Amino acid sequence: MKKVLKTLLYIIGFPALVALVAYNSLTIYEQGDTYSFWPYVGLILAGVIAIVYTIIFIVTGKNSKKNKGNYNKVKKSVATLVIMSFVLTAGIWLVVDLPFVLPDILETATQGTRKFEQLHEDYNAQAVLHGSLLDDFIKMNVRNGNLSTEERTEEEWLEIGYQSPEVQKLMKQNFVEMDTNGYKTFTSNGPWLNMANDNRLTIPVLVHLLLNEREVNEEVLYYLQADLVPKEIVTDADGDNTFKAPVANEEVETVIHWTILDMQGTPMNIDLSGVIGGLGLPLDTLLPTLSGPLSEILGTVNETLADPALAGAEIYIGLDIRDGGFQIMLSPAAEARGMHGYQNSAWLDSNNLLFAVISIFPARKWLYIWGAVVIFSAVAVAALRLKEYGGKKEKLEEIEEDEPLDTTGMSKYERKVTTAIAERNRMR
Amino acid sequence: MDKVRRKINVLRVLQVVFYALGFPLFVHMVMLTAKPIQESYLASDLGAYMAIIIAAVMWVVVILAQLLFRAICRKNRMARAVWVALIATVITIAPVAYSDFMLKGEYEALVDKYVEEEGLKETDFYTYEKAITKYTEITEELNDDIDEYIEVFNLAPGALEGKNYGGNGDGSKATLNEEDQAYYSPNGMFSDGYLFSLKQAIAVQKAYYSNKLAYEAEGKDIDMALAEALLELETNPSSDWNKYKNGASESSFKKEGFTYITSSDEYELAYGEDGYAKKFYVTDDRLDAIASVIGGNLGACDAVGDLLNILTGTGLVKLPDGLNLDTLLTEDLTVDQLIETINALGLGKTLAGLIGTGADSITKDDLMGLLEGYSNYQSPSTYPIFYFLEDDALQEYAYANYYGTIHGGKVGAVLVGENVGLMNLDNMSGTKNPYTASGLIKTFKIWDAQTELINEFYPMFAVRAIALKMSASIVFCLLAAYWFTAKIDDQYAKLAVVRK
Repeated sequence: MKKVLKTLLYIIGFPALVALVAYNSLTIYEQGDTYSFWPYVGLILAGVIAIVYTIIFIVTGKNSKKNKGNYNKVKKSVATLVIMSFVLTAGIWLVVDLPFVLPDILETATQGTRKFEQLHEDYNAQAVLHGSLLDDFIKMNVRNGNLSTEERTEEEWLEIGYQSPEVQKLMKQNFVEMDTNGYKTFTSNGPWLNMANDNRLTIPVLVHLLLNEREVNEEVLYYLQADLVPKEIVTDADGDNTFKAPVANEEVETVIHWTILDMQGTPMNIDLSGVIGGLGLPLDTLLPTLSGPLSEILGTVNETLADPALAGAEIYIGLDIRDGGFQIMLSPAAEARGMHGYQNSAWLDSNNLLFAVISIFPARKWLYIWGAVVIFSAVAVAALRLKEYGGKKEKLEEIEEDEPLDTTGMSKYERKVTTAIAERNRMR
Repeated sequence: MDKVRRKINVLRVLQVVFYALGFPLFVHMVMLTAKPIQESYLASDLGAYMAIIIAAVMWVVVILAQLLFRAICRKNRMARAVWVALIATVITIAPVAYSDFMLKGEYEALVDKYVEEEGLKETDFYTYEKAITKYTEITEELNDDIDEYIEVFNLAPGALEGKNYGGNGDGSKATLNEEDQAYYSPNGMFSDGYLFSLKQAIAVQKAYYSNKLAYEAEGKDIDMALAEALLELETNPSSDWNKYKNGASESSFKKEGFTYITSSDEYELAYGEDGYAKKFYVTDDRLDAIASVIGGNLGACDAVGDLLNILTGTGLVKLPDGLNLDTLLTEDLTVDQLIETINALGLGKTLAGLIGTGADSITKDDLMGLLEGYSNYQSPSTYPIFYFLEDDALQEYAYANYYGTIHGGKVGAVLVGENVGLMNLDNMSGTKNPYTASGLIKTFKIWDAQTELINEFYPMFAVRAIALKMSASIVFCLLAAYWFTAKIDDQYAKLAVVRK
């Protein structure tokens, strides 16, 4: 009966904890399903801790049994079990949570783009984000021909994901080019990009980012099968199809220049619907006539912007007149080239490591929460073992004053106190 | 036997509980009470924890006394307890007595100093009797005021240390000065990516507004005086500025102790014909190169003519007589021609209004003036012109003006003027400055005074407040702990150990 009870108590400890970690990490496994073992690092960590605990559980159990009848030795053995139940749950994390351990590692791994506080509760949302980074990367590169649809359909590319060597090579090579000929050219000549990334994209900073002369490394090449250019004017007839037909590149590996918009990765839309509406212009009749020359002029403006005298790389200015609106769109070229903005691209480049880091958070959370149950189960098992194997402990008794002092088998402390008291009593 | 053991256990618990209710609780309570001081923007590293340090030292003194009397009164437990209680009484009453009888005079002296020397009024301060109870409220209100200030000027959240967003544009080193809480370039100015700390934002505004107000008090305009002084430096061939630009020998400078930062040709290397600084800002040549590309590309685009034909046909656009796009839109297009065309189209007045010149047309100087604010690049390795100003007040103002407007505009934290804070494409006009010049100067003086109070007086007030409430209970609890110790010993005296 006691054995069954002890087994049950063991099961509600670490085995249940490992199951809880696994259950709470399902979103992470789902999102990172093509990243082999990386999303399972947290579970592996919890499993290793559970194995260590199990070994301690067994060894202390055997020790207690071996020393049956020796109360002090059995007490020592069960105390080890209880202390280790704390050390292996909350104890470890109290240390790992110190600012210079996990929080610093996380900040270094994400180059300061993700903080510990942002992740320790919101890990599922982050996993979804990292999962979608890979999916979107694949979709963008299927669209521009970097991932051939003759080889696999888009669905198949999404399914094989990071396991595909082609996807890995494309991610690595193109990120290195974006990093070398994009990010580093911005950060090597001043603080401007860092300011822009911190909501300080002032006009002087924008001017610097657009006009500063930057040096690129001609030996680092970008892989691009075809150029995709956004349509200059997007109408209702275009729906979500906002790119022109791809134009195959003669040289698929080439040096690409990047703009600040590429680094940020998101288009800037200036909504002029209200202003245009206020002018009372007959847009319905004018636009069909104007759209032809306007498209051509916008195309010329876009080419002009790409001239080294101006931005030196493509920024696409276009008009979005869908749903009766009138928006000027400033689109980066990154999406058409199959890249996210710099931060997301940097994350994608280390997505396997980041999935590993994210997977640690559910383990951390449940080792903290379920740690109390583990400690409780350890204490209960300890009590059972003490009762089962401890025998009778030495007892103190009231004695007559003149009775001779017997200190046989006393602990050091008890002997010291008893002798001192007896000595004092004699002196009275 | 079990009865005795149970008694011992109960007595032990009581012994620990009563000890914990004494000094440990006292230190904890001081820690809680002093939290607003710890969190104050104005507290120094030491001041933030001074209250806790004082409380901990009080506890340590009593512990030392306990050890001492344990050694002295080995056999007389009662005498030991009485002596320790006496020491504890003195120690806990000390902060109350010190605050009430000695600190009051110092507090009033400090208030007098700010009233007499800085022009503050007595009503800007609480009386000592009120301050001694309202110090946490005052500290919290100050933090709220400073939070609002940080938000208005868009400083870094928490703003204490400022921020450096990266290396200088020219690759020179940005050096942190921890005492100033600022990053400096080799020319002694803030580094390219330095976002003001609270300390430096205040210093810039003090320098800007105090000099401006001092000139105004004499009926003078400091901006005009500065413009004249700079013009003199620019136009006088033998001015230090021109000597600097020409790389004259250091001994020929009027400015005492002048030395070049790197070499006598440092200015030429930065701003000369192929100067490295030129790749960081818009020059006449770069503007003309841009105009040339625009002219060449648009000139080759037939759709421009088609579009204008449609627009002029509908009457929406009216082209001025004599405007020939074929001759204008070529690779030879210059900024001067563009400006002429803009004025000919009648758009000059509108643009001049937007720039703020109020003229009927715009000029290239207007355009360059506008661009200077946006694309100005002060090389971190050369001195600015105002480094050579001889008048100290004007020089201090010129630096503050540069930091508050140009540098602040760049890092998204304009510090002076009617519109301040972050100005970007989404919000070109920034935040309306809610502070007046004199109001801000007075606010800074109050913050200076409160900095002294928070670091030198309020920690003692926090200790006093808790000591006042707890001194009797601390002594009682300490004595109780001694009593329980004695009782435990009495119980042990009834026990011995036998093997069963």
